[in-house]
Amino acid sequence: MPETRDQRRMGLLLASPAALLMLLLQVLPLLLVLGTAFTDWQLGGDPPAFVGLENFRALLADPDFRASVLVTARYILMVVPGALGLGLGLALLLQGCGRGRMIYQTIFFLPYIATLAAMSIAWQMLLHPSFGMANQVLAALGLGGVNWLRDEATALPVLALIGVWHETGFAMVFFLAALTSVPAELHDAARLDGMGGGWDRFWLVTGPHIASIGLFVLVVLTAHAVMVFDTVALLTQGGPGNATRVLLYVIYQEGFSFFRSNVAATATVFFLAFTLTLGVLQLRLGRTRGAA
Amino acid sequence: MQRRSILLGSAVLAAPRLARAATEVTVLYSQPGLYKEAHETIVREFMRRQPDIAIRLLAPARAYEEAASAVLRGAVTNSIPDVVYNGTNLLHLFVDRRLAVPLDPYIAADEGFARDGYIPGMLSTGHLAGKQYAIPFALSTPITFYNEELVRRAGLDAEAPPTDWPGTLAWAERITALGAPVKGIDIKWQTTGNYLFQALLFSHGGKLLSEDGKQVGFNSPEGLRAFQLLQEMVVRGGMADASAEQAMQDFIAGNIGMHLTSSANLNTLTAQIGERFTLRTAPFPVPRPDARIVSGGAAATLFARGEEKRQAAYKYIRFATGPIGQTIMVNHIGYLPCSQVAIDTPELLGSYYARNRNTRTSLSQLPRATGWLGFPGPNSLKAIDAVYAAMESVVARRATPEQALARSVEQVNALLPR
Repeated sequence: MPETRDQRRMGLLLASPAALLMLLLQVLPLLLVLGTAFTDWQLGGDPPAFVGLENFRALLADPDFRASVLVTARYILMVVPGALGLGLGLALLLQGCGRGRMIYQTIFFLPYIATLAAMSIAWQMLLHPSFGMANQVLAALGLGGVNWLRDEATALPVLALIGVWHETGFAMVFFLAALTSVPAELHDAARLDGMGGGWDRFWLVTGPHIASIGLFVLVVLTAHAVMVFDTVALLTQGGPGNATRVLLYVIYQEGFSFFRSNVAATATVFFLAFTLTLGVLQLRLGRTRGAA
Repeated sequence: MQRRSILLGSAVLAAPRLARAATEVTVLYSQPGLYKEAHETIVREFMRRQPDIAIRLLAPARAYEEAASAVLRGAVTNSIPDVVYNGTNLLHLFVDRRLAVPLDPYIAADEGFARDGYIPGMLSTGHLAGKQYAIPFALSTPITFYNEELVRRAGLDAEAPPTDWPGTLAWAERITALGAPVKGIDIKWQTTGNYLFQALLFSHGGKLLSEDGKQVGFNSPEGLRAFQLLQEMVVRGGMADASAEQAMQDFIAGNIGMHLTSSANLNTLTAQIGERFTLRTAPFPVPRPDARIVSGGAAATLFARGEEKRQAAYKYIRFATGPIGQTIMVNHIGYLPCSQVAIDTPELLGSYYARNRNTRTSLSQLPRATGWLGFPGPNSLKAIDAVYAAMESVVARRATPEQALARSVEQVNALLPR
C-alpha cells in the first residue's frame, strides 16, 4: 500500500522524539569525543587548541597503549573461542537432556546475569595467595601456590577464565534456541540415508542450521570481550606491569585518573572504530539470519 | 484543609531562615566511610556559632581523584563547589588551571590565624608556587606498624624498634627467618601519589624535581637509594610481590613483621587486628634523626566566586582546620591535626594522645613534616604512574634499582612540561 504524504509526515513526527534524543545523547557526544581527539583540551583546563594528528601520533608511540591493544587482542582470543566452544558443548548436552534441563540451563546461565563486579570479589577471595581456595587445593596436592592475579604469566589467563565463566551461559542460550529450530525430520531423514553417527549428523545437519547464529554469537562475544572492564578494574587494576591493561581500562585511566581528556578521547576513537565495525557486522549478520 | 495547614506550618517554620538570607557555602569531601561523621559534626558546630553562614555538604566523592574530577568538571559547567577537601598531592591540578583561590590575602587579614598555632611543616603541604592554596585538614605521615608477638618470637626487643634502615632490614631478616608464612617486612609502595617513594626519597634528602622544575630531581644517589631499599626489602626482608590489599590482609592475619604505610591506617588496622596480636607503631626508618618526613592528606581548598562567598568559606575553612575542628576530626578518624593549640590543650586533644601510645608516633614526626608533591603540567598523574611502574618492576624482581631509576627518570622527564 503506497504511503500517503500524511502518513509519512505522521511517521516522521512520531520518530522525531527518539531521533532527537539519540542525536543529543549519542551522536553529539560522539562528535565531541571525535573533536577532542584533535585538540590539547584537558578537563577543566584552558580552551582547546587544535593540534591535528598529534594525539594520534603520541598514542601510537606510547608503549603502554600499544601493549594495551595487544593485551585486549589476547583477551579476546582466549575468551571468545572458550565461551563459544563451551556454550555450544553445553547446549548440545542440554538438548539431549530430558529431565532437569531447566535446572541446568538456569545454573549455567546464572553467571551471566550475576553482576560481574560482585562476582569479581568472590573470585578475588578464591584466588587469594595465602587463604584462597585455589592455592589451598594446590597445597593439599603438595604443589606450590601461585599469586594468580599478581603474576604476569597468570593474571590475564585468569581474567580470561572469569570471562569465559561469565559468557558461556550467554552463548549457550543462543545455541539452545538455534538447536530447537533444527527440524527433527531432517535428523530422521539423515538417519534413513545411513548417517548413523551423531558426529556426522552434527556436521551435516545441525552445523549448517546453527552456523549463522554461531557467527552472530561470535560477533557479540567479541564485542563483550573488547569491552571488558569490571574484572580488570576490581582485580588487577591493569597490573602486574601492563599484563592486564586492556583498552577500556586505558581509556578510563587516561580520562579519570590522569585527567588527560584529549588522550582518552583519542584512545576512544580507536576503540569506537573497532566496536563500530563489530556493530555493522552484527547488524549484517542479524539481517541475513532474519532473511534465512 | 489539613494539607494546607501543614504547608502553612512549614512555611512559618522556614520563614526565619529565609529572612536571615544566610550565605550558602557548598563543601565537597571524599571518602565518606572515613570522614562522614567528622565533617557533619564540624559543620553542625560551625553553623551553631555562625548562623549567618549555611554550609551545605555535597554528596561526598569516593576518593581524592573523584573529588578532583568533580572540580574539573565543575570548571566546565561553572559549578565548582565553594570549598573542596583535596588530596594535597593533587593541588597543582587546580593551580595549573588557575581554578584554586590563593588564601594569602585572607590569612594576612586574619588576626586569629597566628593564635591557632598552625604547624609550619603541615601548612607547607598546601603551599605551591609561592602561595598558600590550601590549609591541611587531616594529614598523615608514613610510620612503621609492627607485630609485637612476631618481633618477640624472633628474639628481638619489641621495646626498642630500629630507627634506621640497617636496623630495620636486620629486624626484617630475623623475622623472616622464623619461616613461611612469616615475612619480615612490607612497604605499601602502591599508596596513591607515590607517597612511600617520596617518603624514601625525601628522608634521604632527595628532591622530586630539579631547581627549575623542568626535569626530575631524583636522578641522584638519593633516588637510587630509594629503589635500592625497595630491593633490599624484597631480597633480605622477605617482602612479597603482592597487591596492597593482599599485603594488608597478610599483616592483619599476623604473617608480616613490619608494615610500613601511612599512619592513616592506624584506626583500620587496630580495629581489624583486634585481639589477634599486639599492634605497635614506630617512626618511619630514616638515615638521620633530623630527616624530612613526607606528609599528606586532605586539605581545604577555596574555589568560591564572589568576595562575600569567599569570606564566608574562609571562615568555615578556618573553623574546620582550627583547634575545635581539628579536635573533632582527630577524635573521629585519628589523622594528624595541623593545630598545635589542639595538640597541647588537654581539654582538646592533649588527653587523647596521652591515652593512646600508637597515635603518638605519627605526631612525633610532625616537626619534620614536608609536603607530599605532585609533578607539574598536564601529564602529572601519568608521571606518577611511571614511577609506580618502576617501583613495581623492582618489587617483582624484573629490574635492578639502577634500571628502574634510569627508566623512571627517562619516562617522567618526557612527561614534564618543557
